[in-house]
Amino acid sequence: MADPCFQIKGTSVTSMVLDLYHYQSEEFARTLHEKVQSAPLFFTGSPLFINLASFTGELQKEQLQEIIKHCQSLGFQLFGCKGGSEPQAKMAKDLGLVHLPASRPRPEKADSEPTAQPEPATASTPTPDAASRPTRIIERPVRSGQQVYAEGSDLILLAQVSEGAEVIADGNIHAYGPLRGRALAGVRDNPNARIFCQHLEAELVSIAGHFVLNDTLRDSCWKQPAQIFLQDDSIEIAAL
Amino acid sequence: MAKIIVVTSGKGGVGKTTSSAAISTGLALRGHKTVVIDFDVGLRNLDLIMGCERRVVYDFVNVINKEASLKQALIKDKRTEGLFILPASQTRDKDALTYEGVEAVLDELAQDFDYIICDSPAGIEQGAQMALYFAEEAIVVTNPEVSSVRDSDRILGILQSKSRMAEQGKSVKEHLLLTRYNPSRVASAEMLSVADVEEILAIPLLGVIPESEAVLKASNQGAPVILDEESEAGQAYSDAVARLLGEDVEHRFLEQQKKGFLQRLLGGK
Repeated sequence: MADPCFQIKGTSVTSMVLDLYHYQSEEFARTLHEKVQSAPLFFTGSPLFINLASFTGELQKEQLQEIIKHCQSLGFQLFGCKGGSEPQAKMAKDLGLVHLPASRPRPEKADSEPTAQPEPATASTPTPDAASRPTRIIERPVRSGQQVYAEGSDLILLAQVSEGAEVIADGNIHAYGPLRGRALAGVRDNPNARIFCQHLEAELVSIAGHFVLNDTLRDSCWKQPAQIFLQDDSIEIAAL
Repeated sequence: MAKIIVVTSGKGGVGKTTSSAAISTGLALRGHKTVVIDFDVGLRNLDLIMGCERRVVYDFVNVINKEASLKQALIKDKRTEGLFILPASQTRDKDALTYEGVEAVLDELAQDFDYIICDSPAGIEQGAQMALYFAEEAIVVTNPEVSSVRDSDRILGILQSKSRMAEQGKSVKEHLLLTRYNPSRVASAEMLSVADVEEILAIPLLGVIPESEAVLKASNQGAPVILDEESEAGQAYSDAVARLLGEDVEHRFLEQQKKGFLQRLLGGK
């Protein structure tokens, strides 16, 4: 079979968002300039898109052109905008920008209603939030100084987690190698999250903000397979 | 194409430059054309250890800035055939190195050499990241003590996240080189054992270099310790080079040596 000359894949790219609320040329230019001056290296060359979802008032094509000019002159790589009305979307496309639909409201809802999350009925299963995203699997060691976060999902660690490393998940954490660093499960206030490990040697373990340190951990299941969970707001460690 | 190997550690004073000098000499002794580059701009030491400090005219930064050609800056080792040294600049700092500049120099070297050894500065900042960025393999030099092991762990993390190989979704081949190993101090639990370090870092062991007076003597004389075939450290480096080239050599000098009757009588070491 012939080698394909390309492959199309999905990816996510980190970019900065400029949430535009209202627009006035001089004010915009000045504020943006001040912002960039505060950390020039950080902003130079950054990909940027403009979020129009919270924009109030009328946006003229000339104004959008000015915004593009201001951003480019300060070193941003402005590539598109997001949200906004139909005419605004058309305007952006006419000016050569990419237009993306507005974000799904889900994350904002999660932020504004944190208390709605825990469901007593599903005490032993991951929360719906954790199930909705694929589990994050890390095959290589997580070394000192590194941090791994499984947003909205479980985290599976196949190799070791070194001292000075941090593994964080909104769901459960499963560590099949030695767990020597810090492990924080259920960080977005999910008291049902648990940590499972084959070799407990952690510096710190935490479930939904409740934590215990190394000294306490040494008392039970040290260097043994163990699970860590929350019971009546206190951390429990049980042998596996 | 040359193979690019970085010698790194995170922590300072663990023996990176000594190891870079010994390993590059060892590779050249085995007939591989090798160049060793000092990335420690501002604190150049490699030329001292290699005994060529008086022959430094142009340096790495001059080549990057196109003030000199590679040919002018490379110093041919007088003892070992096929070994060249690219010294660092003593009067500049690490900001003088740029990724584009370093890449151009490495590309040019890769056409002529079999091995390019990059002697990294200590730390995890710009200078160290520059030295490891282009590496395909890494020799992580570690002393058997906790702070050195922790720093090595940190540098391993950086290798697998910030190197060019990592950016291409590949991984840098890792080797552990344990230096200043003193079996008698391990026996009395003053030092971590090979097994302890291997357990924490979980990477393949390239070699264990015993703590030896020969190392200090060699550094002061400006002759890589691998040339001292009598010394245990020299032999241990030779073994490490053999393993780097894929040979299966048993590890030596891991156990405390019992002194023989005559040795005790004569007070020999």
